[in-house]
Amino acid sequence: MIEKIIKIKDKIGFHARTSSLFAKKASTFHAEIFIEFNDKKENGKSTLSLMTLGVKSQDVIKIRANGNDEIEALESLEELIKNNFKS
Amino acid sequence: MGPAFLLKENTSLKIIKSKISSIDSEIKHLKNALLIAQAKILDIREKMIDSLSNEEIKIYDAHLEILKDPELEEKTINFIKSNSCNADFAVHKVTAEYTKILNGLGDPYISARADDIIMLSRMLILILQKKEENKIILNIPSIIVADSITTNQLSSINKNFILGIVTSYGGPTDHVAILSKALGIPSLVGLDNKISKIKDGSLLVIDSKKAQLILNPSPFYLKKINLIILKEKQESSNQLKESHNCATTKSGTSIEINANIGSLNDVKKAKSFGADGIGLFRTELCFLDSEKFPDENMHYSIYESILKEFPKVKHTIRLLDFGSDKPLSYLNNIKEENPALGSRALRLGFKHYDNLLKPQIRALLRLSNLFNIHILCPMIASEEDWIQIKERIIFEFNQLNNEEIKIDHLPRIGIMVEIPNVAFRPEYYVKNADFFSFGTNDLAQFLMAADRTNDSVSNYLSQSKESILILIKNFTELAHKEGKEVGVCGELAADDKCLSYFLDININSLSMPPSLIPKIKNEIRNTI
Repeated sequence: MIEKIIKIKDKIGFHARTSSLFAKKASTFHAEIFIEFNDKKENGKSTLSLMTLGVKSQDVIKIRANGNDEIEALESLEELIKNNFKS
Repeated sequence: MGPAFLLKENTSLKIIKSKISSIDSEIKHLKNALLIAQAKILDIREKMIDSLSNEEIKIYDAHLEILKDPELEEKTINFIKSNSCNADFAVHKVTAEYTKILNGLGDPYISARADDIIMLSRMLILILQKKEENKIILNIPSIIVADSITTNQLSSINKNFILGIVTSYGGPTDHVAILSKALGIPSLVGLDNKISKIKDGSLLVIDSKKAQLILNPSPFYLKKINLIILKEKQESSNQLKESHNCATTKSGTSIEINANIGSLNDVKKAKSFGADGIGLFRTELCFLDSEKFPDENMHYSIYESILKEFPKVKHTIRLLDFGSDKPLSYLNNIKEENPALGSRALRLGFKHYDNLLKPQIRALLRLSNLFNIHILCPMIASEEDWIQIKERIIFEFNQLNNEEIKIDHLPRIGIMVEIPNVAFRPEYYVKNADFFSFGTNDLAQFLMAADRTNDSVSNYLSQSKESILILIKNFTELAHKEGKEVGVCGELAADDKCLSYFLDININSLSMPPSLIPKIKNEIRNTI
């Protein structure tokens, strides 16, 4: 299991569209993906759950990945966030 | 106008927690219901695909995504397991939890997604309970009256039978409001308890022009309305036939009649109503729902998809006019006392140059290889404003060519004449800009010191007409001496009382909402 702390720089945070983009990217990996924020932990492959976190711009989240492709998964999700969800 | 059709509160749902014999079979039911619901949505999506634009069809994609959400399924399965309860009860509880959290975030856009979840939850529960939603069966064309109506219900009704939609809940960002607009169905949403007085079958008139609902109209009013409708129908069908020809007066003066657009639907209308070209493309309307700054490729692909619907005409495209009455979620909007006089349009564009103007200018320059693009600059207040934007456009033009993205030629760059300081002193501008378009709505509010979004003073606006016409006349005379064209694109452009004046001063073009074009062209043909 690996994890990484990342700051969301996108102007909006995890909104409907950004959550959806994140979940879609996360779903392309076998590894389990979890997002931790404000003592909550949600499935990174679920748009709905990501939206419920209420992550806003400049918030800091922790991404956890666990599975055989966890390294690629984490790298790719980190890149998505750094590019402000532009794929 | 038509009879009311009261949409009964839907099949009432009874969701009772009950003991079940087999957890596994409940889980199987749930998985099955999720698949059936997806198939239903796909079916509706298929039916609607021809009448909606790509953006609007995404509403259904969002629904599918919720139904496929892994966490929604897992949470519901876990609920069934830990409570040994029926699947419909579990769906109800899990979705209610989601909607509660989402609504609690206090974000209207997210709350609208919560409404989608409520609708889908209903759909799943009905499937699990083997019930059907009350079918909306319209035998005669009617105005649907409901507390609220879901996109699925709306999509399931034969559109030829829907004369209008009236609801007590909802706002303009609802999916239903967007859909009905896209389908050309008159609608009034969010009327609160006003609709409780409406009886099934009673006659209603939706006056879309005034956004009013008239209940039980008097025989006198009805007679008047009927005559107006009949006359409008006859006239508009005659005018539409003629509209694709250019508008020339009896004495041979021609004037370009263009369309104001802001979406794919608008451009389709522009074409079908016989516009000669696009006189004002309000680009900001493409991005109001956007959650972040649109990048260059987003600009490019949206404009391309719109312009290619009506390709071989002149496209006058206005640079983003955000701010004022069109605030943006992804800009940290600063509260301004007078937003119409504040940081908007190019003023805002330059503040966020790399995020707002630069990608748009680059996209427009690239598109100018494919289309006859004219770039229109809004809210120019001074010579300095003009020099600044023109230099930026030329800079981006050279930049693109340096990047070996060859742009054949610099498009024409014009000024939206809407600030008095420019309107009064045409001399400098007529020499330096390529063309002009009078934005009479903003010009009126600035001339009269009357906020056009404030109902208590907006009656002042129409009194600026005389002054504006004088300004247009002076400007046009000087512009024509320099060989530059002048158009009008605000409300005055479609004011039939101003037409002969515009013809007299040889205005080159008028731009208006597409639906008004046949009527105005007809007026011009009847002018000497």
